[in-house]
Amino acid sequence: MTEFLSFAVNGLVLGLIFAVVALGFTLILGVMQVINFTHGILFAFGAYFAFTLQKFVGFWWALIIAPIFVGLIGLVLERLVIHRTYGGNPLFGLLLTFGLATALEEVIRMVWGKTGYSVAAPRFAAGSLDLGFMFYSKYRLLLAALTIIIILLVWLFLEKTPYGAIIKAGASDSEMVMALGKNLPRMRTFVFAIGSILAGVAGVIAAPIWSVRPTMGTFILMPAFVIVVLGGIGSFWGSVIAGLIVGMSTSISVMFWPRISDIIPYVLMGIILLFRPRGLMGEKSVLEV
Amino acid sequence: MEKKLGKKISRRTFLKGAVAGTALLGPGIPYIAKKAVAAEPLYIGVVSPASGNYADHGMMERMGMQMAVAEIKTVLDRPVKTLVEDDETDPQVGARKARRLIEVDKVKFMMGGVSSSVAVSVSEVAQRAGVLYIETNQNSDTLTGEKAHRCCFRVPSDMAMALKCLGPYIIEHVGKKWYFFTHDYEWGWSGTRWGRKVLEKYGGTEVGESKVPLNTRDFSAFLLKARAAKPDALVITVGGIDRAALMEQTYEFGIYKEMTIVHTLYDYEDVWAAGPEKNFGIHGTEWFYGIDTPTVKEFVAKYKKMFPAALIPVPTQDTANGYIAMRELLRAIQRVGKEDVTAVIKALEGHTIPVTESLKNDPIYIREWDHQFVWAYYVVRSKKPAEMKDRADFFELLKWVPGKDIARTKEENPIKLEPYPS
Amino acid sequence: MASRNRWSKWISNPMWVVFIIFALFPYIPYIGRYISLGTEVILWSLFALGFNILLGYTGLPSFGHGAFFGIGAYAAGIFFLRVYKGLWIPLMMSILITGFFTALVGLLVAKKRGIYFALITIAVSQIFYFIAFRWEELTGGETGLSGIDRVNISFPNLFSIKLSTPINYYYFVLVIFILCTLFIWKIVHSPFGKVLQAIRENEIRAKYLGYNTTAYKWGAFTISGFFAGLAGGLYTLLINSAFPFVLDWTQSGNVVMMTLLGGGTVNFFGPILGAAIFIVSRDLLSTYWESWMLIYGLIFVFVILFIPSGILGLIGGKKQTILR
Repeated sequence: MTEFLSFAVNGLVLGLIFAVVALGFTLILGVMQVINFTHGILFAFGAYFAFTLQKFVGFWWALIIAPIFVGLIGLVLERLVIHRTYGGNPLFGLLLTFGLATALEEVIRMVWGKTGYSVAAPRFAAGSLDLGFMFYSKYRLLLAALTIIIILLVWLFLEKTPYGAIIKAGASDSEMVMALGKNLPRMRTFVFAIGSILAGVAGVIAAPIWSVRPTMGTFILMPAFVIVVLGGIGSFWGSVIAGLIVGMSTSISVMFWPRISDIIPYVLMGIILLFRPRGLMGEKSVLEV
Repeated sequence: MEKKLGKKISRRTFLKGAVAGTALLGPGIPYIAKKAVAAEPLYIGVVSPASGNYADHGMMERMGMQMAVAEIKTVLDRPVKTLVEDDETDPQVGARKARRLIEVDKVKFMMGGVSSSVAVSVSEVAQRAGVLYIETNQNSDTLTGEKAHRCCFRVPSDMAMALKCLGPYIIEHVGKKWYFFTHDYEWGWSGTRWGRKVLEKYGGTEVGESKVPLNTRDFSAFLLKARAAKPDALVITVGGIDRAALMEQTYEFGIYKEMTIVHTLYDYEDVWAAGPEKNFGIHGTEWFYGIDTPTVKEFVAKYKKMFPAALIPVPTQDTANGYIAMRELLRAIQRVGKEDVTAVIKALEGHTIPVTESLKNDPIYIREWDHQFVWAYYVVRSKKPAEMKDRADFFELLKWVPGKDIARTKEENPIKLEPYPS
Repeated sequence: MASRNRWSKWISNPMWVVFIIFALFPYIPYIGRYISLGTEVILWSLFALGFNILLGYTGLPSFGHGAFFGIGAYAAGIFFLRVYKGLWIPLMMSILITGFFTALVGLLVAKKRGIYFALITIAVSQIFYFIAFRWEELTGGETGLSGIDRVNISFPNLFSIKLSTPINYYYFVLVIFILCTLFIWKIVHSPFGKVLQAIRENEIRAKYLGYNTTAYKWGAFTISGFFAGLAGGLYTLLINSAFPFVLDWTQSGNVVMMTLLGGGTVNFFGPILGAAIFIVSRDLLSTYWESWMLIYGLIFVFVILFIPSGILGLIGGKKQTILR
């Protein structure tokens, strides 16, 4: 029983990291209809910046500054290159971001070298906690807390601020937003930056447990697709809930049959799409035209 | 034309032309350029990862090869040149690059590689073409087992050697209750299989096993299961980028405090990446720079002199293997007197490299019936950060066992190689 | 008069230029040595041409066709090693088995388009990738399958062609390519092909005209799958092995790129040119520069931004919507 509990908590923690990444991904997909292949590499940039910054300012400041750098990279990419693919064949945005991701992975190798790196978790969170009924890692509990705070912040932004409300609307129907006369290009750049920041912050907090390598982004990119399709494109709660589902199902299937744990999210996605073709919480959107 | 291993390439400007133009002329250019050089160089093909998961290992092995080329310089009065191709840690790319080296550059000798599956595909190409291929850093049993070929040799140890050396030490000094982490593919299974044989022989018990699928990032479930079984030793045969995550998480969960962490094949590159805080336990390793022989000290000094700005300040096991492979191949070609693959194969088979040149504590014997380089394996202990003299000083050497005592016997590995290429 | 026009139309078809160039390739000095690359260019062209029925003609962005290539590759390999060590049977299996799976998947995706279509094809291809990777007993897992020989073509009492030599295999693949290209040409210039283009331009209107667009889309998807599978089988025979990496989503990305790069959206021959340029330059790049991935990625970016209609589109000048 305690074992199951640990697996379940694991799944939740994993799911929370996935949810943060998926949130950024779904906003970009919803508002700009771009399948952002660079999301994985932005995640990696978060971890790499954290590694470098940590030596100078320690973990906590790295946690704040690194995502900002990643956001800047995202901003530059969007302004220079990505915005040119809006409105066209979705394949172009996909291929473009795919090309960028490939090039940027090599940039990471060129700048930081080919060896791997380690990011240290803050001292107080190192080691494990014996809660009697459960034995768990302190850092993961911290990670859970951090991700919940981040998700909450995003929710507050989308629900409680006027600009956030526009973005939330834009995520399901960007044409309508344009009709309202808002400055669309600036909003899109902003959304891309936010998405990048979310990917970056996930990279920072995942670094101490997954280790820092140039190829680390590939591990969250595919799950991000699945989560977004499963949860519904452009939906906040869709991403969060689907993220948790994917995290939990992966973790629990490891308990019974590790070999299929990667396929489970896809199977789940397939099943859900049979009954709800737009995903759990997706709404009819401009993407379907 | 020499392709340099790392920074700028003198002919790169050629490539700045239109892609469409190079598409037509491209494969021809290097050949035309080569013909212009005066003394025809001796080309050795190198298929090694420069991108993908093993890029760091690939970098280290190529440095070892460079050291050997710098030392020997010419063979049969011809300058030695390496033609380096990136296998991208991908078997189909490796095979394509091997075919390119064979068909276009007409090499007769190749070496390199870290991933065993890439080695399987490259060795297949080599055998079919009658080209000699030396596997430098792949540890899967099958490369000198079912997938062994007459045209291929393997320098690093296999898992039988690893466990036969490491196993008894763990039984004696750590304990008899083992829990296995098995990377769920051929290499991982072989590590655990030999581990089980050790347990059987010495009366140990297996308290559990977790099969870790490839590309696992999250080991918490496995670690928790292992903890519940309360073993003396956690015997891990997990490699690559998965190992990196595992090392982070053994630290994260503090598992190393409750049992001894044992990596059956510990690569220096991985320890370097993890850092002093996350290095603990007793492990098996093929080689490390702290081996106390004059040849190793000299090798380390040469490395430092040749690569003062290297990311890893000391050579690793990959460097040593790459060096030995290149050096012995070149020497064999010199002994034979011509670029004849069959003759060089025969020159390598049964050859012994004396201990004064072997970079380990025993001589190297190149076995004729499975083409395995038979030499020592080592047991090391991870030093605590406080014990380290410098950033590179991760290990204390505990024990070594000569290759001949641990390599597989003919009963354990009943294979037959193909006939010599005609 | 009519029949002479038809003949002259056939002869003046640029297809023959392509065939002749391919036929003469091994005899070009120096470049012609790299025969296995040439064989790869031909089979990827075959893959891309079939894929273009879906992408260029029907306008459906499948980002998962690498999986079908992979299924074909494994089908040939598994049949050779486990069932029958022949030539034609494993190849037939690559076509049929892939066709079967593509037909199945086609049922799932035929109703979608645009982004959803792309996303689902990505997801489906991932499922196949994981199956190949994890189902050790069938596919050999990460290590893959090896030892797949190319059996001789023998006509009893007449002659026997040794396919194990690179140059013989090159011509074998070329012959298959020629036949398939003619076949694909017929398909896209038939009424079926015209309907596909209509769907690409405006699916709703095509529906109102009475066409069962879902069925046509399914048809295009499945046909492209047959060719993908055949290409995969030919590839396995080329490298004598099969690995899960052929099913990676980057493979799917590569075939899309080849098709677009050459101008598949505006010209029938675009995919062939694209495949040639892509395969050759990728090989060259990684040979000459350790950090080749940087240039490779930037080329993608460059093509998408500046030559989205591909090279043939650029040369052609105007934007053609009807693919000739």
